[in-house]
Amino acid sequence: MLLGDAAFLAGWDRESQQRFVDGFTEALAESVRTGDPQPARFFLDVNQRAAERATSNSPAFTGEVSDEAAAVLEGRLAVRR
Amino acid sequence: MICHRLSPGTYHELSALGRTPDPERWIEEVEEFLFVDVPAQRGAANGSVALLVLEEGVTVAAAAHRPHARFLAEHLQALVVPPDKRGAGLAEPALRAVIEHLHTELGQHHVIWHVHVENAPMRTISGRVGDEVLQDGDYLVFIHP
Repeated sequence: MLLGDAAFLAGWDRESQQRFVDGFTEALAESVRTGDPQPARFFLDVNQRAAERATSNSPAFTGEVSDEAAAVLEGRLAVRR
Repeated sequence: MICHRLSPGTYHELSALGRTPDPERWIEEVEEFLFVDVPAQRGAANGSVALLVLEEGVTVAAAAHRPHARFLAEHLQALVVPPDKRGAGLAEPALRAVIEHLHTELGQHHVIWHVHVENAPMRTISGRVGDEVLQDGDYLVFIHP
Protein backbone atom coordinates (compact mmCIF):
# COMPACT_ATOMS: atom_id res chain seq x y z
CA MET A 1 0.00 0.00 0.00
CA LEU A 2 1.77 3.15 -1.19
CA LEU A 3 0.90 6.15 0.93
CA GLY A 4 3.34 8.90 0.06
CA ASP A 5 6.18 10.97 1.42
CA ALA A 6 6.08 11.86 5.12
CA ALA A 7 9.33 13.86 5.12
CA PHE A 8 7.40 17.02 5.96
CA LEU A 9 7.13 15.75 9.53
CA ALA A 10 10.81 16.41 10.16
CA GLY A 11 10.24 20.16 10.35
CA TRP A 12 7.40 19.98 12.84
CA ASP A 13 7.54 20.51 16.59
CA ARG A 14 7.23 17.47 18.81
CA GLU A 15 3.62 18.13 19.76
CA SER A 16 2.57 18.35 16.12
CA GLN A 17 4.51 15.21 15.29
CA GLN A 18 2.82 13.31 18.09
CA ARG A 19 -0.56 14.57 17.01
CA PHE A 20 0.16 13.30 13.51
CA VAL A 21 1.31 9.92 14.78
CA ASP A 22 -1.82 9.52 16.91
CA GLY A 23 -4.08 10.51 14.04
CA PHE A 24 -2.29 8.44 11.45
CA THR A 25 -2.40 5.41 13.73
CA GLU A 26 -6.15 5.72 13.89
CA ALA A 27 -6.50 6.31 10.16
CA LEU A 28 -4.23 3.38 9.36
CA ALA A 29 -6.16 1.13 11.73
CA GLU A 30 -9.36 2.05 9.92
CA SER A 31 -7.75 1.31 6.56
CA VAL A 32 -6.56 -2.07 7.79
CA ARG A 33 -9.93 -2.84 9.31
CA THR A 34 -11.87 -2.02 6.16
CA GLY A 35 -9.27 -3.00 3.58
CA ASP A 36 -9.63 0.50 2.13
CA PRO A 37 -6.46 2.61 1.84
CA GLN A 38 -8.48 5.83 1.65
CA PRO A 39 -8.55 6.73 5.36
CA ALA A 40 -4.76 6.50 5.70
CA ARG A 41 -4.06 8.05 2.31
CA PHE A 42 -6.43 10.98 2.92
CA PHE A 43 -4.90 11.66 6.33
CA LEU A 44 -1.39 11.69 4.90
CA ASP A 45 -2.42 13.83 1.93
CA VAL A 46 -4.11 16.56 3.97
CA ASN A 47 -1.21 16.74 6.39
CA GLN A 48 1.25 17.01 3.53
CA ARG A 49 -0.87 19.70 1.88
CA ALA A 50 -1.27 21.61 5.13
CA ALA A 51 2.51 21.54 5.63
CA GLU A 52 3.09 23.01 2.15
CA ARG A 53 1.25 26.26 2.69
CA ALA A 54 0.52 28.89 5.27
CA THR A 55 -2.71 28.38 7.13
CA SER A 56 -5.32 31.10 7.05
CA ASN A 57 -5.51 33.62 9.87
CA SER A 58 -9.02 34.71 8.94
CA PRO A 59 -10.96 35.81 12.00
CA ALA A 60 -13.72 33.44 10.89
CA PHE A 61 -11.35 30.63 11.83
CA THR A 62 -9.25 32.19 14.61
CA GLY A 63 -12.12 33.97 16.36
CA GLU A 64 -9.97 37.06 16.76
CA VAL A 65 -11.88 40.30 17.00
CA SER A 66 -10.89 43.93 17.22
CA ASP A 67 -10.80 45.65 20.60
CA GLU A 68 -13.92 47.56 19.66
CA ALA A 69 -15.74 44.36 18.72
CA ALA A 70 -14.53 42.63 21.87
CA ALA A 71 -16.03 45.37 24.01
CA VAL A 72 -19.40 44.83 22.37
CA LEU A 73 -19.20 41.05 22.60
CA GLU A 74 -18.28 41.18 26.28
CA GLY A 75 -21.73 42.62 26.84
CA ARG A 76 -23.19 39.35 25.56
CA LEU A 77 -20.61 36.70 26.38
CA ALA A 78 -18.52 35.85 29.42
CA VAL A 79 -14.78 36.09 28.86
CA ARG A 80 -12.73 32.92 29.15
CA ARG A 81 -10.22 33.16 32.00
CA MET B 1 -30.82 16.38 10.36
CA ILE B 2 -28.18 14.85 12.60
CA CYS B 3 -24.54 15.67 13.18
CA HIS B 4 -21.82 13.07 12.96
CA ARG B 5 -18.44 13.84 14.48
CA LEU B 6 -15.44 12.88 12.35
CA SER B 7 -12.11 11.54 13.58
CA PRO B 8 -8.81 10.59 11.92
CA GLY B 9 -10.34 7.28 10.86
CA THR B 10 -13.25 9.00 9.11
CA TYR B 11 -11.85 12.36 7.95
CA HIS B 12 -11.68 10.90 4.44
CA GLU B 13 -15.47 11.21 4.30
CA LEU B 14 -14.92 14.95 3.80
CA SER B 15 -13.51 14.27 0.35
CA ALA B 16 -16.91 13.08 -0.85
CA LEU B 17 -18.35 16.58 -0.48
CA GLY B 18 -16.48 17.94 -3.48
CA ARG B 19 -14.94 21.36 -4.00
CA THR B 20 -16.48 24.44 -5.53
CA PRO B 21 -15.29 24.92 -9.13
CA ASP B 22 -13.69 28.32 -9.75
CA PRO B 23 -14.56 29.57 -6.25
CA GLU B 24 -14.56 33.06 -4.82
CA ARG B 25 -11.49 33.66 -2.66
CA TRP B 26 -13.38 33.39 0.62
CA ILE B 27 -15.15 30.17 -0.48
CA GLU B 28 -11.81 28.60 -1.39
CA GLU B 29 -10.45 29.75 1.97
CA VAL B 30 -13.22 28.09 3.98
CA GLU B 31 -13.02 24.87 1.94
CA GLU B 32 -9.26 24.70 2.45
CA PHE B 33 -9.78 25.25 6.15
CA LEU B 34 -12.46 22.60 6.50
CA PHE B 35 -11.07 19.99 4.13
CA VAL B 36 -7.33 20.38 4.86
CA ASP B 37 -6.55 22.35 8.01
CA VAL B 38 -9.17 20.73 10.22
CA PRO B 39 -8.22 17.08 9.51
CA ALA B 40 -4.56 18.11 9.74
CA GLN B 41 -5.28 20.07 12.92
CA ARG B 42 -3.08 22.92 11.68
CA GLY B 43 -3.13 26.61 12.52
CA ALA B 44 -6.51 27.88 13.68
CA ALA B 45 -7.86 24.35 13.25
CA ASN B 46 -5.74 23.02 16.13
CA GLY B 47 -8.35 21.52 18.44
CA SER B 48 -11.17 21.87 15.93
CA VAL B 49 -13.80 19.19 15.53
CA ALA B 50 -15.20 18.30 12.12
CA LEU B 51 -18.86 17.40 11.74
CA LEU B 52 -20.88 15.99 8.90
CA VAL B 53 -24.54 16.97 8.80
CA LEU B 54 -26.72 14.18 7.48
CA GLU B 55 -30.31 14.11 6.34
CA GLU B 56 -31.77 10.62 5.87
CA GLY B 57 -28.27 9.19 5.63
CA VAL B 58 -27.10 11.68 3.00
CA THR B 59 -24.39 14.24 3.80
CA VAL B 60 -25.78 17.72 3.22
CA ALA B 61 -23.17 19.84 4.98
CA ALA B 62 -19.91 19.81 6.87
CA ALA B 63 -18.85 22.05 9.72
CA ALA B 64 -15.97 22.70 12.08
CA HIS B 65 -16.01 24.08 15.62
CA ARG B 66 -13.92 24.46 18.72
CA PRO B 67 -14.14 26.33 22.03
CA HIS B 68 -13.76 30.05 21.38
CA ALA B 69 -10.33 31.28 22.39
CA ARG B 70 -11.59 34.40 24.12
CA PHE B 71 -15.23 33.93 25.12
CA LEU B 72 -17.16 31.21 26.92
CA ALA B 73 -18.85 30.03 23.76
CA GLU B 74 -18.36 27.49 21.03
CA HIS B 75 -16.84 28.96 17.91
CA LEU B 76 -18.45 27.67 14.74
CA GLN B 77 -15.55 28.15 12.35
CA ALA B 78 -16.95 26.86 9.10
CA LEU B 79 -20.12 25.50 7.56
CA VAL B 80 -20.15 24.27 3.98
CA VAL B 81 -22.92 22.81 1.85
CA PRO B 82 -21.48 20.72 -1.01
CA PRO B 83 -21.66 22.44 -4.41
CA ASP B 84 -24.04 19.86 -5.81
CA LYS B 85 -26.53 20.49 -3.00
CA ARG B 86 -26.57 24.28 -2.93
CA GLY B 87 -29.73 26.16 -3.78
CA ALA B 88 -31.96 23.54 -2.17
CA GLY B 89 -32.56 25.35 1.10
CA LEU B 90 -30.27 23.07 3.10
CA ALA B 91 -27.96 25.65 4.66
CA GLU B 92 -30.42 27.00 7.21
CA PRO B 93 -31.56 23.64 8.62
CA ALA B 94 -27.93 22.51 8.58
CA LEU B 95 -26.87 25.56 10.58
CA ARG B 96 -29.73 24.97 13.02
CA ALA B 97 -28.77 21.30 13.33
CA VAL B 98 -25.15 22.16 14.10
CA ILE B 99 -26.14 24.75 16.71
CA GLU B 100 -28.57 22.31 18.29
CA HIS B 101 -25.82 19.69 18.34
CA LEU B 102 -23.44 22.08 20.08
CA HIS B 103 -26.06 23.04 22.64
CA THR B 104 -27.21 19.49 23.31
CA GLU B 105 -24.07 17.38 22.96
CA LEU B 106 -21.54 19.83 24.33
CA GLY B 107 -23.70 21.78 26.71
CA GLN B 108 -22.50 24.98 25.09
CA HIS B 109 -24.93 27.78 25.85
CA HIS B 110 -23.60 30.20 23.25
CA VAL B 111 -22.40 29.70 19.71
CA ILE B 112 -20.53 32.43 17.82
CA TRP B 113 -19.67 32.57 14.15
CA HIS B 114 -18.39 35.00 11.51
CA VAL B 115 -19.84 35.52 8.02
CA HIS B 116 -17.97 37.31 5.25
CA VAL B 117 -19.83 40.44 4.17
CA GLU B 118 -19.87 39.18 0.55
CA ASN B 119 -21.58 35.91 1.54
CA ALA B 120 -25.13 37.20 1.06
CA PRO B 121 -26.95 33.86 1.41
CA MET B 122 -25.20 33.01 4.66
CA ARG B 123 -25.80 36.53 5.98
CA THR B 124 -29.52 36.09 5.44
CA ILE B 125 -29.62 32.62 6.95
CA SER B 126 -27.49 33.60 9.92
CA GLY B 127 -29.81 36.53 10.59
CA ARG B 128 -32.75 34.16 10.79
CA VAL B 129 -30.95 31.70 13.03
CA GLY B 130 -28.94 33.98 15.30
CA ASP B 131 -28.37 37.59 16.27
CA GLU B 132 -26.13 39.81 14.15
CA VAL B 133 -24.13 41.52 16.87
CA LEU B 134 -21.74 43.67 14.85
CA GLN B 135 -19.53 44.00 11.78
CA ASP B 136 -15.83 43.59 12.47
CA GLY B 137 -13.73 44.34 9.40
CA ASP B 138 -14.93 42.18 6.51
CA TYR B 139 -16.98 39.90 8.73
CA LEU B 140 -20.33 40.01 10.47
CA VAL B 141 -20.40 38.38 13.89
CA PHE B 142 -23.43 36.32 14.89
CA ILE B 143 -24.33 34.74 18.21
CA HIS B 144 -26.91 32.14 19.17
CA PRO B 145 -28.74 32.66 21.40
